[in-house]
Amino acid sequence: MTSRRQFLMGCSAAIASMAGGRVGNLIFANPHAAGPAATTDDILVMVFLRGGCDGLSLVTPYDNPIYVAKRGDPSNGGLAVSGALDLAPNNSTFDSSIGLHPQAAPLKELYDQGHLAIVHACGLDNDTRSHFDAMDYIERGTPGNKNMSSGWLTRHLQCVHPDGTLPTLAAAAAAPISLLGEPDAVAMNDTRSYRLSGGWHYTNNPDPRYKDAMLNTAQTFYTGGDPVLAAGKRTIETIRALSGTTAYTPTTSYPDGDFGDSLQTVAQMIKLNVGLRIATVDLGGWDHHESEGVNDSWGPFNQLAATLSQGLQAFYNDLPAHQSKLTVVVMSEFGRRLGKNLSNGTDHGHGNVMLVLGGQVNGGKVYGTWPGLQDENLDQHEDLKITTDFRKVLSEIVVRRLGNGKLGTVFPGITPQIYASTNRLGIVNGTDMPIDYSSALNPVYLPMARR
Amino acid sequence: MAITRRHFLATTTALSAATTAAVLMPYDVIEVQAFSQAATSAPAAATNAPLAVLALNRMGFGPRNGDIAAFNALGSTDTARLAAYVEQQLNPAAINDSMCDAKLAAARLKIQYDAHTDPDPTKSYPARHEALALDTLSQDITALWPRARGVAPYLAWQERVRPANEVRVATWIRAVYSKRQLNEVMADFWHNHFNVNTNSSSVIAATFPVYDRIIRTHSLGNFRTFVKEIAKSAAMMYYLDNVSNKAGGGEGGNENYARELFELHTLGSDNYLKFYDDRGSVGTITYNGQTYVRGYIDRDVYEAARCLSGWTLNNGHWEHPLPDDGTFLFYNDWHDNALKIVLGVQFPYNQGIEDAEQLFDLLCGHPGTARHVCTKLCRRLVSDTPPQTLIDAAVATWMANIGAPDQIKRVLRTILLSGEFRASSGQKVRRPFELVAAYVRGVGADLPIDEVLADPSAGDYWESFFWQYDAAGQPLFEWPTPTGYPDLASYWANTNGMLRRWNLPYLLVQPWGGNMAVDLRAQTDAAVPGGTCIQITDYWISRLCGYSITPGVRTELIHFLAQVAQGGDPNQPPKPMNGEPNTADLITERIEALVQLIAITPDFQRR
Repeated sequence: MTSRRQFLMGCSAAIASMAGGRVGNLIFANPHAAGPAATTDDILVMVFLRGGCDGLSLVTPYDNPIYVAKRGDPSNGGLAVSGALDLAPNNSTFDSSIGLHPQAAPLKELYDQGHLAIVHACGLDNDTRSHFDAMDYIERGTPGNKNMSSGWLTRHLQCVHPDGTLPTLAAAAAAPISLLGEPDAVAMNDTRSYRLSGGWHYTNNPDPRYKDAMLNTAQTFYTGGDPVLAAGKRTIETIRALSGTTAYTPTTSYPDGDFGDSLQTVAQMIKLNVGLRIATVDLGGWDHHESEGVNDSWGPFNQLAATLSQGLQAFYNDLPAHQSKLTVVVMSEFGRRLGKNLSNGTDHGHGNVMLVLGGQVNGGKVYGTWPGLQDENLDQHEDLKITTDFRKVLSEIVVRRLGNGKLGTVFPGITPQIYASTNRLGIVNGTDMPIDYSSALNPVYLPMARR
Repeated sequence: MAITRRHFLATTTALSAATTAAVLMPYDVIEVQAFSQAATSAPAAATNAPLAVLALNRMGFGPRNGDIAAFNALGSTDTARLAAYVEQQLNPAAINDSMCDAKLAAARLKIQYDAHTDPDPTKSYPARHEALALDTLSQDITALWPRARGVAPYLAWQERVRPANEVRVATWIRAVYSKRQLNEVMADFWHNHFNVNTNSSSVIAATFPVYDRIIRTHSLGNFRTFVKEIAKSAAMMYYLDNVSNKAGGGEGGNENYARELFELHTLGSDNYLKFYDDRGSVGTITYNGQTYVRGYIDRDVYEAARCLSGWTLNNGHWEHPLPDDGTFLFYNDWHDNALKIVLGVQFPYNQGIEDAEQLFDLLCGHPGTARHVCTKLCRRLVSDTPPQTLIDAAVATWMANIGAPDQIKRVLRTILLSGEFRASSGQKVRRPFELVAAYVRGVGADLPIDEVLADPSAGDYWESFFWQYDAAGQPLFEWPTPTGYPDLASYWANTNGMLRRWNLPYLLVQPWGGNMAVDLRAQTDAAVPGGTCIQITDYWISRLCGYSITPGVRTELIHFLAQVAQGGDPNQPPKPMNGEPNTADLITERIEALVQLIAITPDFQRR
């Protein structure tokens, strides 16, 4: 892996060519400069399904009679999934068959190949049914406390001090809350147009005396630590870093649209070998209170399930050389209600699925304990119960794949029971290390001062 | 009716950004205050803007040429000038807005589509290619409804969504040209508070002028009246699904609107007591000697959804087919007339439409609602983390005028005349809409007017304008979730959005990028004929920012215009330097780059 400086010298020839004492100005700030460097160079990609993905339709107990009755028989236009792709769950707690939605055939392939694992009845064990609160709690990593001033990925990065050109990428218009307070998080939905647009003589003029004259002037404005100044500074550093990159040609076929585009941006950055460790990608639009259409080609759920599945497969297969270091986690803020509503949709629910995809994933298995769908086994008599805390899944990846045992810092308030040595999921390979459950945080997290 | 896909929650974070700085609970105060310093600390070393600039930036979209002088002529002291300006702006109908009216009348937005022929003649329509005036803006719901219905005779998609596009253009024109600037800021605020996404349903797009009019009618009025009119609107009915909220059959109604009514429109999530299962243990608070329940629980949302069942539209549904004109309908057959308990209050049986009226009374009269909405108003007008003293004062005005027809106007007066407002220079980051509007006003550019040209693919400048502008992350009326756009620097201070905001002054004036008209060179030559680099730089700083910006930044701007690194002299007019072609165009390009750089300064990125 190249360091930031090597990246600038090597990949961005245009900048290197103008060197002459200027490269020194271009070295990226590393806000985590002090302390030990990261122990692994694994890459974690967090895919967040915004809006409350209907996990009971994505990984469905399709022949469970309670499920069919509450969702409605598909032969009568109901919302129970028809034509599910049966999975071998390798999990004795299920009391019915379990299958993937028919649009998730690409996920079935990954599952059967052993790259994809599923966790069911999983999520944020908090009573909220609010999208905004639930996402806040999950992404800050502090259920019940949305005033935590940093995201869980930010605190993980603080622990491991990655030293790359571009360790953190939010493939979106803005960074998600899981990266709140991370001054080096780069948000970008497109590498190719990431440059300053202005009059030709003072931006693209090949004469080194004038090239980037505007950028050079702008750079002098953005020194200092407040969020606006830090973001401007990071913007200029990123423009310079990307100025030598070319258009990306994937080796697989991504779905059209923002999700496929975002995954391609992440894949490009991984292949550029710029030290990417954490990337976030969003796929929104899952809030189907009305006309969910799980069995209809026009159905919004149907289309999103296809986009998700095709995107994940294209992304994973586009990176054969990196799969052994790659882990992709897919989650949503909550599942949806077991019973459908009168608008042929589903209201906000509770337990849901998480997907874990990667070269070190013990796939081909559905993890977790199925709580059952009988009334007394439901949360508030309405929704799938949560038997696996989302932090249990993420903790195992943080420890075993990302080499960070400071779970008390990443998830303040986490109890040893959640990641107890006696009942770990074993969803990814890796070494367990001593776990530090104490919170190393000061009561207040402040983004570190920039150089 | 064709049902369009929901695109709720299509993006990221903002969701949480929007709730982050909501009302503080006492035990959170220490951490939240520290967070706010981290997220929104005041600008380093920027000079405080004079009151005229602060007023024009907060109560409007920044100064046009002459606005600062006009403000300063309103009185002999800052206090007198501010008081006069606030009163002027709080009475928009009394402000002569003839320039803006003329621009609205002259506006043209292209509509263009190919002919469609179908075996069913009602599904066929001829091609169209015209640059039309904004004619749907004044149409009422029955006139707009045929565009919403999606039944015979079928209309091209462009016809159906046309009304939303006209509102979009009108909103830009008003932000740039209207003298009723506070009215525009408040319209923007309430559009976000009562957010609907024009992309989530063609009904919303087709009826959007009505929604915009509801917001503009009530934006300085009474909140309780406002909430009810929003609840009855076609746009909100379809956005949050209450149009299909029917009780009965053993299955639940649709609780989407009811939940956001509590969580976003009125009490706010800080009053959501999600850990309580039963009302009895929630407890009470008192305000001004009155007792109120402390907050709401899930059960209240379920009960409120029952109150709102049967609130729907005359939309041709088979159970109530006529009339089919988009007007509000209370359909008693869908209403749950059983007993309900909301916020600890028992609602009688068979209240029918009065259930929801009583619900709105309870919610809008609660001090938690006052605190939630007043905090957002203060965040919009003053600071990401408004002082508690100011919020308290706004809440007091709100509660004391709970039934007043000008309740919101009175609250705004409290906020805008406060010491906290006057002390808040530079504490807000300009979001893309505010930034571009301020730039257009500052440089005196003219927004595009579409035209039909020989080349059928040319002349659609507004479409290009929106294409470029939208990439900055704030396309108007398209935020997918009901929170509205975040109003915190921590959301907008990111690498992608920052770069897009820097690029827009250049992109929007390109013939392919919006075709906005402005001649910076001619204005320079007229204002500072033969001016030195220092004089020209200071002139454009005064036009765009209105005050002396950070000294080091000014020096760098002067050095850029003079090309000091190439041996240029700041005390001379800008000249071609070594190797540059000796043309007038080059100096024009450099002046244009200078003005863009002023827009890139951290000083201009704040307001």
